[in-house]
Amino acid sequence: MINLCVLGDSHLNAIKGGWDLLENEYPDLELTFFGAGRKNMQFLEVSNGCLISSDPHCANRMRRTSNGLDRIADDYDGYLLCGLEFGLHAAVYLCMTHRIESDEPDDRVPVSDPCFARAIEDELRGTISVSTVRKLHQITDAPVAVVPYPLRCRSETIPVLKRIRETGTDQKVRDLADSAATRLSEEYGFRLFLQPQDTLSSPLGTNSIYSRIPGSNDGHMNASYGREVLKVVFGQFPS
Amino acid sequence: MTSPYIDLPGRAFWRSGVVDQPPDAVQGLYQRKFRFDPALRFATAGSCFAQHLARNLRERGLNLVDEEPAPSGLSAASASDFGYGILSARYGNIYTARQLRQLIQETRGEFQPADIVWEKNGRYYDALRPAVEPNGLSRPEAVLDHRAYHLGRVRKVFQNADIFVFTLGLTEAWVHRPTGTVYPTAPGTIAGVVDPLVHEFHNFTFQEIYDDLTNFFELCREENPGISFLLTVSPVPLTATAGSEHVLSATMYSKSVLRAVAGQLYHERGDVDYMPSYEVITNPRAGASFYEDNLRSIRATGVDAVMNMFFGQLGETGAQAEPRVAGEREPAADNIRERERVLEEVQCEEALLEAFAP
Repeated sequence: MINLCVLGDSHLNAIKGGWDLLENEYPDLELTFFGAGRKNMQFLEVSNGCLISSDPHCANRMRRTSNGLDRIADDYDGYLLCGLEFGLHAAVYLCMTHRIESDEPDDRVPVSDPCFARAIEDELRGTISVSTVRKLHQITDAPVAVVPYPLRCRSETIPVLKRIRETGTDQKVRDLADSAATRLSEEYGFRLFLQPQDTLSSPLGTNSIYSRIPGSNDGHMNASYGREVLKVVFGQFPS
Repeated sequence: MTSPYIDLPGRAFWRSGVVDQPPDAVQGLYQRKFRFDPALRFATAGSCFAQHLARNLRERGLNLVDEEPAPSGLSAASASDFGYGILSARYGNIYTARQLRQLIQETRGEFQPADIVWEKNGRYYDALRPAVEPNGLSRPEAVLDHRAYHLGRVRKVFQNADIFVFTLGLTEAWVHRPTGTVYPTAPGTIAGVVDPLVHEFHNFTFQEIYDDLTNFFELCREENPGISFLLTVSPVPLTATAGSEHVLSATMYSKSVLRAVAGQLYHERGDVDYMPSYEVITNPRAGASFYEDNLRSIRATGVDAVMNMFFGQLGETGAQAEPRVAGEREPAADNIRERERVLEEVQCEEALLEAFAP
């Protein structure tokens, strides 16, 4: 039996839903979920070879989602982090105000591609996800993987995003963001599972069929999305 | 017949004004010309030492104009790597008065610098501020595009500042002979290639620097009639001289000329003040204690001595508690981000619990 520890914030909802759809197909896999609000998850601490939460609210949530466990042990075969501030949304927000080198001139601020990528990298480095990876490395040598936040479904509704989609610059923005995230994964020693291509409607947007609330631009996705993500993860992790 | 020196204050005499004074707090060394209001907007530009001044002005809570703020997400260290958050715009170091004059002329469409895209290893750099993009840009067109944006922001610096602080650094420069374009660094140093047929060394004279600064002041006041100027001379010696003299002599010449120009403008113009940074750092009473071991870089204690002298003139009100950065507000995208962040946090708990409901 392969035991995976899955940590996350509200986006764990989709992953859990996906697991509920897939569970029967992976009889040798057991997932234990530890979830709490994003801000609460920053209170995880290393203690006696485990991760525990110093925040009672977070600890309570984690107990609830893990069916009663009050600590994240060091004996899982792998650790999968979902969200926890790690996502390419920073790139989407940044390209609303700043244009990269290949973008057409407009009223946005021009920024060099290296600077754009560095901004994304710096933002990702400061995430709860990265700090949690570092804490996990203190207690275990088991592989750690990160699944970023899904891109929102609303890229078509924002004029500037629609415009860069038409010019094809959105793919270049995406490439810069992906490279920044990949560099961080190498720096901090974790596997990075970028959003599956099949779930995208554009380089910077998720297909709305995966939205948790149909027709909305809610950033949370549904169980079908979670299933697609886990199918990719299980094909490669832990290994 | 009484001596004209009999009733002079202590600061007029070397013994009481220098020898008997602690070097980090020389009394009466700086007496401000303008009334300092903590709400005043300060803009900074100049040589390396200008960066020290800008940082301290910012840290001590003065309103420092920043017309090219860093992109969201960039750390302070990364911002500095890309020339953000150092001075009032991303112009990099401006070492000479001619370079400053050409910059304001360029913002007004009155000067077109030549040969401003330099190449190195397949990347392209703005020759007039080569250090702001450490990895260069991918195309020459991008350099020109970025520069056009930058010039618009620089013009805003001149228009929005109440006091423009300029640190005079050098008299030596490398010039594009056909057009007179002045570069902050010699071609080939960071990027580009030196061409002896096109690029020449020039050591600016007192008159040239005086005229350049006077012209700059006039153009600046056309942009912003209420602006005033604070000059200071960088105490950082030359790293190297391309002239024929020993670097010590070349440094003394440069600093002397710059100091003389600053002094003359201070005495002639009501809108120009002079802050004696150079005097603080090079004060014989300090020995070379305000210099690092390389006798070029300025120690933090030296910068503090300069800033304490300056802030001592602000009076009891000192600086505002909250620094305000002038410049345009972030576009509406930031509102989108904030709205979505709040929504997400509100929805966070609810969304999490959904899948785990019994």
